[in-house]
Amino acid sequence: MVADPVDLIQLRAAEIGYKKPILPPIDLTIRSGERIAILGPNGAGKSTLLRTIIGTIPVLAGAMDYPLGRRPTMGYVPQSHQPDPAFPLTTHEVVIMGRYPALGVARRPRKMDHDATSREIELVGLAKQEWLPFRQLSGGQRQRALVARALVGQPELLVLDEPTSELDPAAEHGLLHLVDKLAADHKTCVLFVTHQISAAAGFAAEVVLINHHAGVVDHGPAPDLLTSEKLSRLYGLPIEVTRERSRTLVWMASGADEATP
Amino acid sequence: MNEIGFFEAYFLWRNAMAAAIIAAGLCGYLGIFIVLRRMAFVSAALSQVSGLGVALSFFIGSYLGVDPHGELVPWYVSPVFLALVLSSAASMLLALPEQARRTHPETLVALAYLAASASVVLVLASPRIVQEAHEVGELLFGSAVAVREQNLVALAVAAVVVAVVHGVFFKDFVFVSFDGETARSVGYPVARLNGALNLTIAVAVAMATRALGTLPVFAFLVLPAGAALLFARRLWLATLLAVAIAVTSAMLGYYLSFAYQLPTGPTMAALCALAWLPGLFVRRR
Repeated sequence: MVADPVDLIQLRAAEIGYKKPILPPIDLTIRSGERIAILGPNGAGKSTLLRTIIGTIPVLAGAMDYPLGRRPTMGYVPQSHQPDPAFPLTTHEVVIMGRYPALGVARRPRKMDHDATSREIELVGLAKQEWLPFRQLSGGQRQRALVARALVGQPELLVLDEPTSELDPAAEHGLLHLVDKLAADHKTCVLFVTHQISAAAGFAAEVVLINHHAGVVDHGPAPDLLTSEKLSRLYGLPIEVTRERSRTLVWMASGADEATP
Repeated sequence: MNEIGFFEAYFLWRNAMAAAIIAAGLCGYLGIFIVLRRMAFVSAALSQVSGLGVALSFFIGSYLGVDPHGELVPWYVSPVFLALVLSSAASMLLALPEQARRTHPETLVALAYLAASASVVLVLASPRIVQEAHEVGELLFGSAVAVREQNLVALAVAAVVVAVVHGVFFKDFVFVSFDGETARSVGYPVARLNGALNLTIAVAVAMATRALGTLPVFAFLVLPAGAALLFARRLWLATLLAVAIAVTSAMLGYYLSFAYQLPTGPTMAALCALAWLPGLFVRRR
């Protein structure tokens, strides 16, 4: 039996930005088990929305509510360049950080924390790299390690900030497929910022389109929003979208851009 | 060579050597955070600001007719107290969030360093402390060889406090230093943890500056950790190595300065720098 989705976060007429609002007021509900993609061009306000949702910047007006009566537990996957590779930490030492928020007063990881860490590392396919320095991992491996860190605490909401920006298409597909599978195992809601329309089409059921230059904030089911008209308006470029069976094909004016399963 | 044997003069160097070992170990350990957080010049600025606190204590003491080097010094004229207050305030200023500081962090660091350095020179040039200026100068540049029992105790207490705080929060300090954005996203009080880390650094710098002087403190905060990170593939190993390099440099530096009548602080700093040499030939992966 599949549990009904639960509301985790509600934005109500929320105005977001650092000092002044950069977008029209946003109404958005994030529910358990959902796959939500945030799409938009560079400087559109995607990361600002993401940081508002994870609570690192406050809403300027309106409200952000937690219907559970508490902040949902969160896992976060930053862009791969964000964690500092100068630190001499092993993959295990990086991934176990995902357990730190739940450590007791003594702040010492227990055996169960180490076991859960090893298990998650194995699930992302890095068992052989568990005790290697994090900085020795390839870009794709680092992103998988960061996914493992985000999921090892079994969060209710997994947030990814352009997780595939430095990956080739095969690695991007592999990472998103892995996130989708692991999040399903944990019944976790996945919210991700991406530049890849293909990623949004392939993995998200819900999409948020934003571009603060054009004053665009739109959200809804992916099939309704990933259309030629809406994407062309979002990016200010003629974009063609066609659907063939379960595939969404996205074409730019200059030629074929991407195709996804 | 010094005419009196080093070990025969144990009663002369006992406190100073103990202070050097404690301060070097403390700074060597904290240096791991300073180097990894790319804040080497923050430690330079903090040690200068602490030095200003020491110089000011003599300046204020001259008005109050109190010798800050004496036995019964009121707390508000104590060099350690003033160094602690100024370095803590400076560490908080340098840790201001981006929106509040209105300038680049390195500009603030330069401001703190230059303002403190200039002020030290001006205070030492004051006709009110002509008598003490040489002594204070030696203290600040690490040439002083005598450490009072009370300063040694204060340094040991500070080391224990820093050790306890880091014993509990070491992992959290590493997390917020390694990936502050993620730490913030999972509900970590990142600003408070950064503040606590900076405060422990400020306390260590203030105490160590009073005991060793600004130059060796800056050296102990940066050079051993930098050298250790050239070799070590694990954080715990880099930390142990940094402490070992700092303590060895302090002990050997003290011995060499005694035996060959060299200035103590610069000898220790030079030995810390020597620890980098093997790293130039070892390729860490």
